[in-house]
Amino acid sequence: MKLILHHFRKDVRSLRWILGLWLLVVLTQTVITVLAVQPSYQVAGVAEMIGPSAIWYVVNGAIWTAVIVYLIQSEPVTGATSFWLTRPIPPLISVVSKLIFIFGLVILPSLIPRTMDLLLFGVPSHDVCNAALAIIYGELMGALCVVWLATYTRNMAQFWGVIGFLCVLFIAYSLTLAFSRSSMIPSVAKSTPGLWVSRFEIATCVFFGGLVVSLVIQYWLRTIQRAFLLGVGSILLSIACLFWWPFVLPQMGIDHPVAYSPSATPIRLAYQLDMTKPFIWTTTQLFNESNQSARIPLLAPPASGDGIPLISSIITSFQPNGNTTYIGLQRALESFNYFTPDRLDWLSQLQQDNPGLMIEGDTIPANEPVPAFMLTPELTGKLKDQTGTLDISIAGDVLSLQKRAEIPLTGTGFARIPSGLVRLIAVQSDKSGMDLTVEEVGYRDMLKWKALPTVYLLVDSRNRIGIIPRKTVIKSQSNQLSGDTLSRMSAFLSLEVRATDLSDNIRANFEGNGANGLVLYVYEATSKGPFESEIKVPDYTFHPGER
Amino acid sequence: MSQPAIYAEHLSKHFRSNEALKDMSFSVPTGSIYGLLGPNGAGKTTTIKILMNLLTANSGRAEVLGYPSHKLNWRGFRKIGYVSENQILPEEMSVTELLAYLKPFYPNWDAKLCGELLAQLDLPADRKLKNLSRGMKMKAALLSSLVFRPELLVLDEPFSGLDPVVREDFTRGLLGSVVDSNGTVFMSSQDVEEVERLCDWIGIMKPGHLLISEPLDQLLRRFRRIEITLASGETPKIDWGQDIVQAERSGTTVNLVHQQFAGAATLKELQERFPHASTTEDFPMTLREIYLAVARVRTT
Repeated sequence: MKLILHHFRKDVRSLRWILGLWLLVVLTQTVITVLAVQPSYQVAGVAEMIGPSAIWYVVNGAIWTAVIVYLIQSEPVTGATSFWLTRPIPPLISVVSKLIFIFGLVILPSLIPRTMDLLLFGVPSHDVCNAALAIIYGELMGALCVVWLATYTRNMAQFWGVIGFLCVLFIAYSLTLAFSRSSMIPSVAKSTPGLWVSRFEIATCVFFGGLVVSLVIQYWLRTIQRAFLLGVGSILLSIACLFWWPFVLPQMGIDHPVAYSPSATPIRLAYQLDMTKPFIWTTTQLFNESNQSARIPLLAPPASGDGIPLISSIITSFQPNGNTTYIGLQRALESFNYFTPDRLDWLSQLQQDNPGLMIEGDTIPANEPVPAFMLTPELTGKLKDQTGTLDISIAGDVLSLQKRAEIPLTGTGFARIPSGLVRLIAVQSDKSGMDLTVEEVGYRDMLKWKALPTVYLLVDSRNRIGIIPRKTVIKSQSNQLSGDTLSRMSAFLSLEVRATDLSDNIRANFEGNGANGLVLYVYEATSKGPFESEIKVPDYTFHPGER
Repeated sequence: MSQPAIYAEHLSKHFRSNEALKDMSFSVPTGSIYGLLGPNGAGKTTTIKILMNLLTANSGRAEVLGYPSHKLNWRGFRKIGYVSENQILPEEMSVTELLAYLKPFYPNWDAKLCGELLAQLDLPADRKLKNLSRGMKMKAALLSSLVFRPELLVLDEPFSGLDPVVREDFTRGLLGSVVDSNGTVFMSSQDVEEVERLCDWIGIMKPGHLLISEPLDQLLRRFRRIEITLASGETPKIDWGQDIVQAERSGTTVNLVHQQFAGAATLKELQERFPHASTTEDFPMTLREIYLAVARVRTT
């Protein structure tokens, strides 16, 4: 123990500057959290994620990584510098002291602002504990990756070089995947590396695959036997990473694995890029400015089932004179900005012809014409004076009902949804006029909207979270729902939606309207299509000149 | 007879198609100062790395202080000091910090000796290693490897690139501690004079092979340069045999390097070979001359 502490003190001394910087970052983050200047939950679209919040996390992550890399490279645990390898320092002492360093001075401090964030915004303490465990687990996994990679690189530059090399592998993988699915995806996606990378876990697998390659390449630093053992370890760990998310955490009793963790940002990003939806409808429209009408025949959905489709993405591309031009990829939420009441009613007709089809996007105002497709200014500009093919692809999930839970408004009953995180996607009822406030249990933001006592919840097929722009969810939903309009709302909800969490005011509203409580429908994204036959698609007339 | 400090038997090591060591066997007696000489690429560093468990031999075995070299671990390194030419030191540490850090790991750490060597080597104790010159770094590495009075000190090209003053400090520190405490020193070098001055056992390598491994005095005794003056016009054709490693003729003078010189008996034998020689004289050789003679002959 004395030697471990001795070793630990030496590491602290030698890394005091970078460690000080790291702790300063943590302190700043804590202060920001306390002052609520920088919400740690930046559940946002890509554009927002590239903003200050994302930069903050990049800086945070870079320093976090640098501390560990310096720690390991200053004296590799299994490393290559002969000075340390020929000293009588028992590996156990070195390993334990460095683990203490990583855990005590890197991971635990990073936990402070996050847990404070949760506590300050009313997350129940047991949820905070669960979240803390999940964060620690995730960070330990990440730290382990860094330790291994740092062990087999000699300096910081080489470390980041290998990271770059792995990124190249990642992109190569993305492209390979894109082309391997070329029959399913439009040309636009093929020209956009990374769009079709759907699973963070696979990325992790590629990461470790790259690590194995780098270990083998560098085997002469030690011996081939050790490199082989570490390579096998990498493979095993990558397999573990592939499965840890859906299986390991629930077995640990952790229900809210990533919900509370800002460190989930990469996962969110990966999910946001997840375009491998169960169905993809693709249409090719010959565009000719002189002939400004066209027809969009959507392809049939892939399979039958009892779910409902949820459109999440609309991709457009234009091929002037046979040359593919990437025009835009928008998630439905963003694409819906381009649907306005004075445009053609294609989308609305699609919805009307296919009852149960939910379109993920902004709220459609009551008593207004249904939205229609409109080109973005960028698209319009590119199409002007052009002749070519316009591709429109619609991608989405198919939802199937997994659980129906009734939540009475009185008493202490509550429904426990068997998932760590749910996504509230729709509010629907045959009654209207009730005000309902649904609180995100344990979250800072309260969702307030005039809603109806039936709530649809979506659980991602892998129990992962979705990415919903907050502004859409919070700001624009109020007082816009009506009883006969299929609408959707998005928010993160805790597992437990307790009726007792509803305010007295809301409860009174419900009771005043004769409602007894909420009914939650939990849907899970499945690969089964919703229709027995071809989906009905209205004719589509395209007027590129209109705005 | 005590156990040798280092014992190697049929060591071989190859890096892909390049054979760095071929069937190398030698032993280093306890208490000796063994100098391993050889040209660049001879395999000196590879040998040392195998002994220090920094590399694994493809075949053969070696023991260091009784430990199989491939199992040499932190326990063994309590008694072994290792300094190499291009060793990467913990640059962010000062000399004092380095010594303070290492101290608890060595049961035989001699604080008094540490102070003495620090003064003797004239090291700036509070300066970071990254701010020290190459020679100073070498001295710091040596200091950190001497103060626990190692039973075995392994030095890989310790004198390479050092100026004479630093070199003198270095060797004084070396001799003053390890030798006095009856430790064993195993060093590789290309500096023949320094090795001759410090070592009492010599190994000479050519790429991949160990040609000679024996005590220095024995080596100096058995190698002799012999000068034979021939009668004018004599052109003898002689089978030199295994004992003559080098022979040059210049006019009427023949210079031989004899590797099994046995005094009068050898001279008598040569006189029988050169019956018309007017004089036959033997001269002692320096280690440099022996090294060059061996290296030239055996590598051509």
